[in-house]
Amino acid sequence: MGGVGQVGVRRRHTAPALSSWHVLAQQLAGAALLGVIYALVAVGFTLYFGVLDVIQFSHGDIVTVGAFAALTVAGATRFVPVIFVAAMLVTGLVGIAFRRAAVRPAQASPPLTTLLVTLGAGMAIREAIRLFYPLGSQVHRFPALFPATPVQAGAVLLRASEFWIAGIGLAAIVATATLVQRTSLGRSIRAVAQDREAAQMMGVNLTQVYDATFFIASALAAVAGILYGAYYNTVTFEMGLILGVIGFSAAVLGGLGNAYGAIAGGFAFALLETLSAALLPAGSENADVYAFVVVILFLVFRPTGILGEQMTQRV
Amino acid sequence: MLGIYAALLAAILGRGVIALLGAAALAAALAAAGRLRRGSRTAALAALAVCTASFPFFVRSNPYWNFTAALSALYFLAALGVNIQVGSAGIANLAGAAFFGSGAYTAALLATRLHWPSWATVPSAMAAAVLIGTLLFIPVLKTRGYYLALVTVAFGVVFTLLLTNMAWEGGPQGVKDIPGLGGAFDTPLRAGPWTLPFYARYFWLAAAVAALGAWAAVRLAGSRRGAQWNAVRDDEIAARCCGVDVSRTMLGAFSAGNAFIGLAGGLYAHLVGFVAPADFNFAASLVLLSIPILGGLDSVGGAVVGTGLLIFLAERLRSIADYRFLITGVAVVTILVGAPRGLLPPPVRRYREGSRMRGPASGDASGRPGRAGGAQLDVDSVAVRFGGLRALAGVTLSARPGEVLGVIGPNGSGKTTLFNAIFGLYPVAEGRILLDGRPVTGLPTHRIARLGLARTFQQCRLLPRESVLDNVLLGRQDLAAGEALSWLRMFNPDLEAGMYEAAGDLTLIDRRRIEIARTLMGRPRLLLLDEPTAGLNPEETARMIEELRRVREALPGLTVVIIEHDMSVIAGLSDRVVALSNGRVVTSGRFRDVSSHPAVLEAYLGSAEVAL
Repeated sequence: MGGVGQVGVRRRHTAPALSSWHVLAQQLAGAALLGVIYALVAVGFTLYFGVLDVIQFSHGDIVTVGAFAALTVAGATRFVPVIFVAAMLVTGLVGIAFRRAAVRPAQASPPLTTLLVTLGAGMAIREAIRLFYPLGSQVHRFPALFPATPVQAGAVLLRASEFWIAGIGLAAIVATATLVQRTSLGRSIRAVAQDREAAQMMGVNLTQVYDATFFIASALAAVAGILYGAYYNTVTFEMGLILGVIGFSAAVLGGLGNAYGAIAGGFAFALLETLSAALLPAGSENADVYAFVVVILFLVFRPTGILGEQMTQRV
Repeated sequence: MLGIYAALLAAILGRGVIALLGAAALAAALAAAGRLRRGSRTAALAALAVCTASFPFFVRSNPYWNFTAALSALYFLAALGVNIQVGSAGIANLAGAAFFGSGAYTAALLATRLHWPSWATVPSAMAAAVLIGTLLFIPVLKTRGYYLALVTVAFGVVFTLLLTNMAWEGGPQGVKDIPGLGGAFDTPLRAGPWTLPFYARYFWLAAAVAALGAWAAVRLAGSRRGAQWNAVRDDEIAARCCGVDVSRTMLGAFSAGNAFIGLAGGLYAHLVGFVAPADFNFAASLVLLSIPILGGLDSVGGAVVGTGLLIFLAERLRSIADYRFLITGVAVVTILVGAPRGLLPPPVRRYREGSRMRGPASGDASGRPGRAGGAQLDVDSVAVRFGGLRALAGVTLSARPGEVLGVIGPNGSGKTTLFNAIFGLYPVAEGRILLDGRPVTGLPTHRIARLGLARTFQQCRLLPRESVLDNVLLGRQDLAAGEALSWLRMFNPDLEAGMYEAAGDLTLIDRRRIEIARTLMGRPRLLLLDEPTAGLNPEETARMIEELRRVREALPGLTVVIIEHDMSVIAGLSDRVVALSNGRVVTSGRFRDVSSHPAVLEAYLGSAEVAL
């Protein structure tokens, strides 16, 4: 059927191990790093769902936009803060444009329509990157933003870059939480998530809140994209496909609409992958298979997620 | 319209015979979409048959065109399946290509490893897709909405990854050298002076199967089952309250769709002779999904148009072939945002003017067979909680057979919650609800409805895009159009005349009437009316009271529970009144006594005093 390449199998080498305890510790450290990246993506899904009641199925492709934006900026400067800020800004604006062009016109339609619209838009974004980014269809080397100096942390041998990845990811999550919990914009966002009509009656500007939500979620996606590039050293135009599915799974695992659940879900998914790779037969190449099977089984037994979905049924 | 499309296609395709085939297919699409009269429809289908039969003769020197045409027919078949799932039933299947691949791999492995003949592999392919779909559906039986999207996406990823990573079925290289369908299928065809490539037979077979599939899809879409698929898609709660088993209906649609997709996949394996995991990935699923979206969701004719557009993009515009996914993505967004019903929207479901349509001769609906009179409703100390909030705190009330029980109470006193609890829409934390002495607490909503309960909603819950007649028919599982029309006639003769109009376009009182007619279709023994006059002006309210009286005269044994704020409605209709406040029964009895009861006055006016 279609000619687009398949979902990439992501591989990553860990340092040679000394004992099984070291192996496990090393793998858990890897899971924590991946978990940060997944959590950043999952929080976006949960924000969209909580505030706008939509599933933004192309959120993974927004992550790709962020990674390629950073790649472009890195061609001009290697000053890391500039790369982050520029990529976040560009991706955030792409997010706003995306909302206005694709999500807003379909927001009053049935949920299925919104989902299909974002799917189609995601396809367009992916293809646009493939076609219009120079050599877009190829695997791009992502520049080493952080030093690769080995650091011994207890039983675990990590590279300095990996501390940077974890640190920046956690900082982004904490910053988002602060923004949502402590600022007046955050209060508006929470108000809309809780009761759109009441918030509107109290003078909350919905357009502003929606745009802000898309900006925040897309900027977070950019952070995730950069960290992903820094972690795997490569980016491709379709990296967002699998990241989007993982992010959505993580958000559902944690309970859609629940931000802390999304973070927990991100780490849980990374842990599932890591443990599958370590413990199950043919695990290293089938880690995602096992992880998704667990997600599907999870839906059978606990359909509202780890921390419970913020759900209201109106009759 | 037909002319524009045909001219467009002819211009695009450029080749005489292919243009002809396209035009004929388009005409058939219009026929399937119910746009043509009977005579033109027959002509269009005959033209398509002639074009299909003669097509290989025109391109006999070119096996590629025969092959491509056969492939297009199979994509169309698969798209019909996706359309049933996504378009008709609103099930987000984002792994269409994986189901297609399940069928293809099943046929490929059975043929190459076990040397099964093709007449056995192809049905197996169909069965495999249905079986896998059913297994995947189990997780979502309890939940709804986006979860099936997630499950299917995850399945698609798992499917491609597993096939790539496992070695026994060929790994990333896939299965090669799959035999053809066998027998005469794999030899060139000599017909008089002409020799046709062997793909010609495949094309004819694929076209015949696709035509059969289209016929089946049109029949399904026009049937009561198709109407139920639409109901489940548009308003699950209304469907459940009309006795539709939503899980089973959705599983039925999902399986029917997968049968189409699996069949197409099985034939694909034998046609192409080679399957590989990369052919069935997420991108391929998106392409398959975009066919019905472009053409018009829930429309068989739309699937024809959608397939034509995509094939044209892929095959004809080779110069910009690289851009086809980009164009498809943009087109999907544009169509969904600009014309959500697609290029060729589905037709209104029309019913034959047969005996079923006439039904009982008189507008009077009494004396219908099988009417079992009214039911006894007992609500026994029922409590409903939402988190810490007690919406109902031990409500006990009864409605006797044939009685009209009015339920009054200020906003938030638990009236609608009571209805939702009776219908199993809210979980009952304590107490029991009995229908004719039989406990119904904990039963699924559709089972409760099938016991003879029917209800209306405070905010009318009709299917706005469906016709008046289809909305009324939803109240019953079988096609009883005659009865439906006689009820419509009783309420408002204009409704009978406009039975094929979209229900969403009508006035509020007409929508209320349709909703009440819908409840009566299920031959209810207990009818729950939730504020039937809310939002009506005084004149309309008076008319509604009169019409409800007539319903009662027509169905003398029917038990009715009616929630109202308008005291004139309660006074005019009810035999007995129960007053609720803060989730408790304050008092009950005759209207005069209840309405002057101090607790009721306090409940209604006391809050007003506080407000002052």
